[in-house]
Amino acid sequence: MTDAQALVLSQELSDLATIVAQMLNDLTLNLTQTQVQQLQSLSNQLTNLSRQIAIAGALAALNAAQSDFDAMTRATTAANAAATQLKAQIAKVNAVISVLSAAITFGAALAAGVLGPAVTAAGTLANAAAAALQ
Amino acid sequence: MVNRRLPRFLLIAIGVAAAGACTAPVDLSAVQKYASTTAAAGASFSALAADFQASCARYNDAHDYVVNAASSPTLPILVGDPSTAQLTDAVSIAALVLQPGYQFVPVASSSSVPTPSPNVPAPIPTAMSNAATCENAADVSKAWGQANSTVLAYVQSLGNLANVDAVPTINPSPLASPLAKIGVSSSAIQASSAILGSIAKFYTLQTSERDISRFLAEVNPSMPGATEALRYVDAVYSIELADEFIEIETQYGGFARTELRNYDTIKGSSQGSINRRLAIAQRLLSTKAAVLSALTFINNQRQASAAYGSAIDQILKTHEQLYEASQRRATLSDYLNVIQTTGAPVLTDLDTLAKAVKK
Repeated sequence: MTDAQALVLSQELSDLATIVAQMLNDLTLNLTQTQVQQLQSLSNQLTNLSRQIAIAGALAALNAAQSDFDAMTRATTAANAAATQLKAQIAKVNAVISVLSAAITFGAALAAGVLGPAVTAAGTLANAAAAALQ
Repeated sequence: MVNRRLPRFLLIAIGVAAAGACTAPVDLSAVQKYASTTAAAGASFSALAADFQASCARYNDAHDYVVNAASSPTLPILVGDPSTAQLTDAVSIAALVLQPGYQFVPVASSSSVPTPSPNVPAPIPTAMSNAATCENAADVSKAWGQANSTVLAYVQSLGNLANVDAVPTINPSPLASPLAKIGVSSSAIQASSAILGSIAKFYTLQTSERDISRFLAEVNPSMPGATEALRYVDAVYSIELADEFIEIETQYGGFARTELRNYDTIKGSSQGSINRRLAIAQRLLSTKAAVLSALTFINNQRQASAAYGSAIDQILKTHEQLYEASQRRATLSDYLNVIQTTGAPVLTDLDTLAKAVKK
């Protein structure tokens, strides 16, 4: 029996139990005490078997799909890493812009022949480059 | 020198940025809502998974539940002296019927999709004790809860990848001052800043689309089997709830019949006889109220189960369409269209689920 067939069987047992329960709860229906007890017992057996089959099937289905869930977890972890990486890449570009900015400032100072600003700009450039390389 | 080189740089940059500029702005709020709403459904999903075990325990306690309700009547003392027929009518619970739960349809029978992995032989238990059955139910609750987290994490990741608005933008402002110092005009600086922004946006979209496509391809082989297992477990939960409903009905039916028989045997119009009849009537009506409350709760859970199953169905369909789109080299706009059409019912299902669980 496949898990799908087990589910159908479980549902049918439950449907049968519903009919029994409806008979019991039709209080206008004349039943002897013995009949009531027999119907209660029958309903109980039907629902008990129904849920036993269904619950065992659920456990089997989840166990069988465990490799699928594991694969999904791996893919999700990789996807989250990719999303984080994209943010890191943009941050890196911003760091490179800072390097570029410092380099232009340094070049301009050198071209102008002013030593003080050139030294300051060189320091800024070194710091920006170090940050970009991190 | 710098000024002479700049126009060439600008031309190249404009060429690259043009592609980015051609990409229409994408309103990603639908993607974000899809991801955030589904992630927020975690509490409802957990509540359902936990109730799988709880329902098993309630089934076992159904007899005690009815007896306890009868032993401590909560309704005010009755007046009058109803006939047996009137009382029979008053304590009937036949009007409250079991609400539809989730119906499992194997994917294999409704399409040409190969039989998914959960479709394996299921063991048929024989003469299992109630305790053993509930031990199995506890295992299902735990595994179902973990499996739910996996599916929710998948949707959340999809949202993270598509949420390019959350990615920091390129900040070209540090360039403005040094460029101005070396004689670049303010209009050229503004243009280069805009171009840098466009390049960044284009790059971000391209990377996002590539990452989404890769993610969908990696998840795709596992998605049918995983969702089929979840739908199967949900259908089992619906049956479990039905069995619990029937068990409570059965216990109440037997109890009510016994009480009505006792009621009918007390004859006479003395105050003592009337008081004994009223005591039975009060017990019956109080028990009926407690039973109706329990059955209504089960019906709410059945409604939640139906909504959950439908949401899982729709998450799979949305995934399938997203994957198909990715195979056609979809853009974020294409993905958005899928979310807004196929993905929209998921939000409705999750809303229904959340309301049913809170009742």
